Amino acid sequence: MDLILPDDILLKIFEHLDENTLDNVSLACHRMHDLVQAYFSSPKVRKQTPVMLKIVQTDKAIIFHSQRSYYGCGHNYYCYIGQEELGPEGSYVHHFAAEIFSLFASPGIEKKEKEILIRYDDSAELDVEYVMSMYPTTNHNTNMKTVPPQFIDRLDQAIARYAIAE
Amino acid sequence: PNVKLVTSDNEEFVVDFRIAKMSVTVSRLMEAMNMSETDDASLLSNSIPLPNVTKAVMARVIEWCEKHKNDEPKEEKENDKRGRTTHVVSDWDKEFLKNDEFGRLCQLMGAANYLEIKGLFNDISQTIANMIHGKKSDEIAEMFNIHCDLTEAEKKEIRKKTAWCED
Repeated sequence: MDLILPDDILLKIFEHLDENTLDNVSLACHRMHDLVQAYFSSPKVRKQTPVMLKIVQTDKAIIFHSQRSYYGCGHNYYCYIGQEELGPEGSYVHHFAAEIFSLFASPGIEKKEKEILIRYDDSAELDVEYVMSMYPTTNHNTNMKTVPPQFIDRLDQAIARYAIAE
Repeated sequence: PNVKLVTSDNEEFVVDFRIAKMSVTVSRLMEAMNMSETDDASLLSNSIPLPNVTKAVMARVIEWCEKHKNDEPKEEKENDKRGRTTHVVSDWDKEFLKNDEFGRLCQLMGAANYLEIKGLFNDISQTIANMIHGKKSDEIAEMFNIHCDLTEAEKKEIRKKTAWCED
């Protein structure tokens, strides 16, 4: 007989576990996997977790790999986002997208497919210096430094719509 | 003053009012039944039904409450960016819980949750987390007596999704 603990109790136990152990918990069965996913998607965990984005341009879209990472490993959310999905013209998200496209188009980047890592912490500040250190030839708009919550919301919405594996 | 608690298997426990009040659930029920510390008649004429707790589990809960009845409320510390909490389990509590097999701990935790006794709930939650910590998925499944219904392909896909930083 399974030792059935209610979801709310298991979620409380998860609060004490490190991410590697949670990864192992998620491999125990479908229910545990779904529950671990729900845990990582909960507003409290999302809000308090540093997020790393891995952005890859392909022929058809930009792929955002969003990883909520604490100790060097974590969960990925894959999504394919066309330029039109990134927000209405004039919005911050659109501006951000334009910056990303310009990164890929900049002279210092020769390959068509490139990866950049942009890290923002839970105070929602882009680590622009880190990005610039990776791409020193790229000009960055300093307005990018602060990521407004709308960006995170839009990204989350897009992830929900396009949550598919690579 | 004493309060009568009746378990799912019709066992009656008579406990000190202070102990009864350690459970938020029991406190609410006492209020609803107009039971007051200063009204002995109300305490004598009523008993609190606890249909989700068995006699054996209730005895353990009361033992824990007796030990902790004079404790000051503790605040949980959130000690990392994820808000992950580490609850410090006292030596007495470790000793109290160490002989409970996993299934019994789960029952006790269910009772602590139902009765809303936060300190006991946190003690058990942290104890179970410590037992799970560092275990492989098959060991965790065995611990919870779970039959793993994931296929190898599904496991591979999950591992792939969680391996990004190890690239």
